[in-house]
Amino acid sequence: MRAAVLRTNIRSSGGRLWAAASAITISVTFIVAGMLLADSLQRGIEAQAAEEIGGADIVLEPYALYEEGEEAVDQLVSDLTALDSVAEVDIRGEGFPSLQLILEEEHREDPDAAQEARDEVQGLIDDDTALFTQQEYIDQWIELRTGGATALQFVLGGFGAIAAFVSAIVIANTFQVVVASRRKTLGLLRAVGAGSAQLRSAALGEGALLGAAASVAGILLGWVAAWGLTVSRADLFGGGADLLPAQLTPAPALIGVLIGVGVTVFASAWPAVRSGRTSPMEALRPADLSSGGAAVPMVRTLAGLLFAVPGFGLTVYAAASEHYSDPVTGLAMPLLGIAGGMLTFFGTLLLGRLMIPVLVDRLGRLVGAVTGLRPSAPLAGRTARQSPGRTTATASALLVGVTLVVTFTVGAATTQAFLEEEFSDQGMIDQVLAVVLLLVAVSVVVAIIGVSNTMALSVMERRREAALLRALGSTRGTMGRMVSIEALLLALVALLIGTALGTFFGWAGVSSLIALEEVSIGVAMPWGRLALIWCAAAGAALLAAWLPARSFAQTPPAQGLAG
Amino acid sequence: MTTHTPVAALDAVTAEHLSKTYGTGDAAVRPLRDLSLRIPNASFTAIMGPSGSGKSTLMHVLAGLDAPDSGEVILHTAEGPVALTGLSDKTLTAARRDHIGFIFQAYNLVPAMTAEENILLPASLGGRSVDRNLLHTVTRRLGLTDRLHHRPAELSGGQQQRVAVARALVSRPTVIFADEPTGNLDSRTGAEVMALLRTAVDEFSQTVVMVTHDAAAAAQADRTVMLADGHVTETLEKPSAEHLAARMIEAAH
Repeated sequence: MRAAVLRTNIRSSGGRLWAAASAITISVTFIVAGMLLADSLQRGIEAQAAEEIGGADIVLEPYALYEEGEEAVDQLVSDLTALDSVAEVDIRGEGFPSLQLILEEEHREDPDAAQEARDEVQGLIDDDTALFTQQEYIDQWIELRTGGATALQFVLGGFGAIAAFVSAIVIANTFQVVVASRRKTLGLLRAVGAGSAQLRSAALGEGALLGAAASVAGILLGWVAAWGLTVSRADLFGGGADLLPAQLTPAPALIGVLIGVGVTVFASAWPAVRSGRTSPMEALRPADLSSGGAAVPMVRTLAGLLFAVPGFGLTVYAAASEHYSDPVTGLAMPLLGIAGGMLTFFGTLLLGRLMIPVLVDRLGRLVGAVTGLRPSAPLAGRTARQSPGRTTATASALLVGVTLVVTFTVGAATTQAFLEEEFSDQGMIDQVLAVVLLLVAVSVVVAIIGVSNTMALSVMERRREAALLRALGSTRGTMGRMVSIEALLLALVALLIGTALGTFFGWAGVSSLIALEEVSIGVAMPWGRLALIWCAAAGAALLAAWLPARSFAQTPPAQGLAG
Repeated sequence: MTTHTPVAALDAVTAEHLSKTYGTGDAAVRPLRDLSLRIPNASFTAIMGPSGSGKSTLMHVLAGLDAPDSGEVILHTAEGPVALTGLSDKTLTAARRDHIGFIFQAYNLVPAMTAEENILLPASLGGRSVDRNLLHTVTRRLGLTDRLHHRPAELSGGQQQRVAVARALVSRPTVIFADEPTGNLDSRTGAEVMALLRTAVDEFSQTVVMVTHDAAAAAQADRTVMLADGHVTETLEKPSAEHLAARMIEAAH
């Protein structure tokens, strides 16, 4: 029976689930590509280290000896050459060359003999000369350079994690779309004998299946992307070490599947519970008026304030402080700033349920008054407010991306303004900003998929309203505009809050990094770029609403009015 | 205001030779077969018939919600006759908005709008100004004055139907179509809605066309048009509920 339910579900889900799956695919692609690139960089560094040492068994760095003069070094070289265990001494490098020793065959094979040879060499050098075995030397060489690989893994993994977080919001929303659209089917299944546990586990199974499929696609895409990048741009990160062609290893694949399936199952949990609660009566019941506007849970608001207020205070403290680290806890100011920023943002997301529906409604009225698009604009805002949970989730997903984009853009502009006198090389900041924005754009794309899904649900739930409006004399144009404006209002609210938060975070981030006395950092607003961000996000929201708007406008007025 | 306007000689709606077919071959359904009908002005007409007699399709076609395959529907508005057939979607939409009122069985109101906004919806869709005096008169007459700022979800079923009646009256349409207006209500509230439709005809001189399968409701109308198999079988003036019920049972066999 469960398999039957699962089959029915998957057949009736249509294209919406694929859209949700693409959000997970994008996230997993990023995480896997990040891990594979880091691995490829690591292997490149190892290969270069081995090449650097060129098969030597012992490396000496007699840097202190050079101070005494060339003769002292020459003396050491001839002493070393005289040893029975040493086959060859190479002098390598420029300026202060290192000495690379190759041992006689019998001393290389046998560990005891190798130790004996090392002791002999040790006897010839003073305390200031560093001695490395082959392995020690490679390890040290790598340690000096893999900071980059680790950082790379963190950065790409971090953006992947943000994309996964946004995906979770989008997928949870999409599953609600799907469960809502299946109400009658689920009711029928219940009526013919499916238990609520069966419906629940079928929905969870569907999430797992979807997550697995999307993760596999993400892993393959991530591999292809990493491989393409390493093959075409081996010198991507500079610094001497070339990237080796990316190889798909079990660990990133496993992590990709775990994250993909985990996020999807987690996000489908609540819709699955709702799916299980479907009453067998649903199959017979006509759609009711939605009561809408459920009360905001007090706990959520309180929790939001508990996060946002101290978080905001901490961020301001880190930004305004003239120390590099906090004198009480010894923590670095930028670290405190990041922690404060994350608390502020998380608190804002929790408070979103309180602010976003109201803002969307007010904005709808404002747009209606300014543009004369009445009643489309006010009705669009009001409709969004009727489903506050869904509206909040959709705008929040977009808010994550917008806040990040604005943070980095304002941060870059502020840094640029500050450095203007000292350095003229602004090109680099722009280059870094371009790369970062490209990474952040992923979460925006995922969120836009969410907007499209929300509009589809809104339209699906309002079939009868659409028929009613058409009967009462709404033209198709007015109907389509209503849906487009609703999507636009969601985007505008996300842009408003995101720009305010991002500007603050961008300024605070730079200020906490630059802890100079008598220097106050003025925020520099990159108006042109911000305008571009607003236009792009609004345009994307309109594009996302296009198909749902068309479907809403084409509702036949005689349909769905009876019963 | 008069309590009984004499039935005007003019018709509000005339329909000639309407035909409509859904599907083809064995699966073809013909809800309208060369049907002609006149709806007199400022009167209350009920359309009755068993399921599948074509009464819903007829209402949809008369109200410009659906197009017939052939035939003509003419609306005799204050500004002159308007043909509802052969119009573009945009013109037809404007005709519905400006000349036709609707009361549906359920889902009459936009949930996101207050009662007042729902009442004013056709006017605001057409960008027209509203006769404030009429709004005031109608809402007071229907007992909605203190309910105007409530959302539909906060109103009882009977109150929701009253808001729908108010919306239809305030637009002063040429004709109001009511589709099973008592179908979703208990008998007491149903009787209340019927009394309101009677008021619309008697006090506001409106033309009302009601589709119903409820003989008691149809007995409130001035005349009842009986349908079967896409034809008008007979037109009864002021029939009794018992007479109508008997006719319905006959028609079903």
